[in-house]
Amino acid sequence: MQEHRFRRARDPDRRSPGVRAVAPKVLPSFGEGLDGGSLIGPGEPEVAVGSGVSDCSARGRTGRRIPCAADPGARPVCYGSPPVLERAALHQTRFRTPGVTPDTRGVVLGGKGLVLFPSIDRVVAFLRAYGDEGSLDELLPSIEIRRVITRLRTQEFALSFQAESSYRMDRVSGMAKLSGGLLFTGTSRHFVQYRDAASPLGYDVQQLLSDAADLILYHDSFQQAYSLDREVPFRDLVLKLAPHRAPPGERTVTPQLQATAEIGIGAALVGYLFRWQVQARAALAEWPSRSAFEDAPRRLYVFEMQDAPARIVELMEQLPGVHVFEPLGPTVGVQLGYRHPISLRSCASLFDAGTLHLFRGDGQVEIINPLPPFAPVRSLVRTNVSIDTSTGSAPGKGTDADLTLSVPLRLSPTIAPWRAVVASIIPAAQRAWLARILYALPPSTLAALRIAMGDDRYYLLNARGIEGIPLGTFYCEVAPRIYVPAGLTLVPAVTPAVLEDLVRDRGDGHVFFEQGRPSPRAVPDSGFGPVSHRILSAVNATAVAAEPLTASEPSLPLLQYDESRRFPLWGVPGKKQPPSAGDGS
Amino acid sequence: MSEARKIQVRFEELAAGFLLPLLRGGDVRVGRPLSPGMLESFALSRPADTDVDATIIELLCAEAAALAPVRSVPWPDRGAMAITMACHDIAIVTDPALGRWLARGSRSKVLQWIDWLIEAAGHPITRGEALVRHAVLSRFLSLERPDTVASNWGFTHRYLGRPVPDGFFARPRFVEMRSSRRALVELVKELDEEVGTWRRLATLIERSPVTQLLWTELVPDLRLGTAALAVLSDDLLRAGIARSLAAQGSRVATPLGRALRVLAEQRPPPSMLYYVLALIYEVHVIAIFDGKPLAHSDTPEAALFTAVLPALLGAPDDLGALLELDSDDLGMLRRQAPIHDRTAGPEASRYAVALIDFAAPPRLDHEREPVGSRPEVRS
Repeated sequence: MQEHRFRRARDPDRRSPGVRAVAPKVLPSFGEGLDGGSLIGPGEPEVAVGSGVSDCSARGRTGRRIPCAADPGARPVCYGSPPVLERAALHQTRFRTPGVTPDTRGVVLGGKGLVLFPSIDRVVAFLRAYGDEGSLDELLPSIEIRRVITRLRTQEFALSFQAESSYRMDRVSGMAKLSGGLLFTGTSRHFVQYRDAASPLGYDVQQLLSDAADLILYHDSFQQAYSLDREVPFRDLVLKLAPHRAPPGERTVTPQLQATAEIGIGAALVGYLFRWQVQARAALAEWPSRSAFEDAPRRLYVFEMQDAPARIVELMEQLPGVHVFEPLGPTVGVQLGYRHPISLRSCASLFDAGTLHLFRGDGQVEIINPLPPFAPVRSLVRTNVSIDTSTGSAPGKGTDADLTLSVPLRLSPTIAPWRAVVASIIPAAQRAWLARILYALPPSTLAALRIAMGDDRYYLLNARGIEGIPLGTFYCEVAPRIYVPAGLTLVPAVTPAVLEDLVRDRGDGHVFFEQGRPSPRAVPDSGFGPVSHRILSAVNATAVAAEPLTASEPSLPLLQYDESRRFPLWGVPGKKQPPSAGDGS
Repeated sequence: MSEARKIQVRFEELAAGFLLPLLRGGDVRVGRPLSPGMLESFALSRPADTDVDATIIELLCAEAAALAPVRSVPWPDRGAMAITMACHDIAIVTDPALGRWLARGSRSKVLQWIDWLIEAAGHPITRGEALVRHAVLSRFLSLERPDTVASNWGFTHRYLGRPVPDGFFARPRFVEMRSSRRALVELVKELDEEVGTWRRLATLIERSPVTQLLWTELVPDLRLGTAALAVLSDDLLRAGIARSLAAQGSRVATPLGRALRVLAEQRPPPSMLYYVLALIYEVHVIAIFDGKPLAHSDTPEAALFTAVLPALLGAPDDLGALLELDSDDLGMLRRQAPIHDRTAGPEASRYAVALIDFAAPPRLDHEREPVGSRPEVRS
């Protein structure tokens, strides 16, 4: 499809974020040439009609042309009017733009640089690109981000900073072009376009706008007055940006890691790290309660780990309530596997010393201020010390007892996460609840569900997971067709293959280890069947007589005159009222 | 018999003998002409036979609901009644018996009455009124006259629009008998040169904007006035019209394209142009979904009609709300658009883009101008 044919020359809206030149909106006659209109032909480059021509009109949000009242020499469209800027010449020392002077290279430079962006995401893109390539720290002392508005109430963003030198401005100019911004230079409120390839020494304005605006920008294709709306502090912007997940290929594990853990799991984590001899330090951070209804302050364990094994890091990442962070400096860290949109290394001065800023993947930022004291985990682990029990040695003696060893399989609690929860046992007392839940189940779950009915319980199987039916006791499949209650494990911890060998004589049945019973139960596979067959009652349909609808298209009317009369108007009532006398309109 | 009693009798004849069979099908009887003096009385009268009254309303409802949802139809309504009376009188004018020596003078009088009734009909101001007028007029335009001609060596008997006497065909002396049906529209066209009936029928059709939009073969030189644009401003009514137009196939391309061009040349407000573009776009959408896309370039106007779809998809400008369709449906339109674009040609496409660029959707309620500045249909 030749879609390019329908792209109108609306490049002012696309080229620059300010108010731009707009072709007059006219309605051409059918068949007449459209050369002077606002269309471009196939294969033609997308160039604005009247490109390079100053324009005193602007487009509102609806795209309609609106005369700009700000320009004192207001004309709806100024074709052929002189350009706004003129090129600076070498050794030129006097400029109409206030506050700009040539630097040692002759480049027109003001005290400040200003980058105009159409939206906040472009601002972030600029900061990100600049931080990746250089250091944002050099801009941070003077950086100011402001939301500015035009008279037409369109919003844009102006990022200003100390210009210092044309070298810095050149670097900013390159980044600004990449991220869709326009660079200006100036000192107070008049900012003129910074130099580009068309004018290597920069620009000067031909005539200053006598407008009482907070900010006036002069570009080679437009001039626009802005009023300042609000300031967006750079620190707030950094803290509001949520990190994004890093691609798997870019994930790196640094030797130093930080982690936070909720208070409930923190103590267990201390013991775990100690048991696995991980070099770790722990601290307890505390925040005041966020609500008057919370009776206790919020607390978090903060860990610093050195050379933690990958499996432990992976385990900690999967633990709910635990977040692992990659430190990007002494005062800031980002959750492992995530990247902050702005390079935080390049703006480290943003974060005060003695604090710790941890950016979580869900966008929340943990600010620990001040940093609590850390202690090695070996100092914090609990020890079973009893001052009453003697630790003295007892003499041993030999025995001639039978040394035959018989170890029965037993169920023991485990803190391992639940895996393969595919079965459940529901007591018969809960069958009414089960029936209610079956009504609410989606068709896919209902089709995958298999049930066996015991004497006093129901056995449910669902290979996709049984959590959809929150009844009874959940069972994990520890070996093929061998189930143990969720949260328990079989000890000794034999492998699934050994377990299969140990559970003999089960045939094709499903074996359930139940808590409190010495021997497991085996339910034959033939006892299981789809729920739809075993539980749902058959439906007896009542025959209803229905006949197909017939179309009721009315037949065509046929004209039939009355008998002919010699004087048709004789006897017609109301004919004496002349039509002209009636109100016919 | 008093004058009022006579008027009531004529109303009963009109309701039971003309309007009811016109809507239901069957023999539509036209008697003596209806004068303008009866209009005020007719507009307030109801048939004495409640079955006739209920059936008329039911049939009007059914005919109206085929286009757009309506709860009830405004009947009797002065404008629709004037159109019904004008239809009745136009049918009378086609009676060959009115061309006889003594009766010939009454024809010009009836034509005056028709002009007056058409003028009195005015324009519809609600969706129900527009649909009732269309219900009556569309059935009237479908009217046919059965003609029977029997001849032998000496005589020729013509029964044009009149029943053949009982036992007439049993007479053995006739050697040739022909029966045929002629559309009323043909008869009106035949009489146009003599008495200007076609011009009056065209004016009558303009009083029913829905009929004007749908009977494109009768109104090839379609010019959309304020009344038609007001009808198109009703989204539901426009959708029903678009459905009917899409079912008519390729013959609607040229009239609608011409209507769009003529309207654009009159430099209308952008919102008025929006309604016509929306109608054409909806006709395209329905035709494509029905598997019968309307891509024609037989005439420049048909090419313009064809170009509206790709132009709107390519550069919706302010009309982007029309593209809020299901993604699959929108994909179907986008696959069809290149065919339309190639068929229409570059010139028509550019002109369509310019029209779409100029058109603007109606503003929201709180942005609207005061009542009366823009035509609209109240539903």
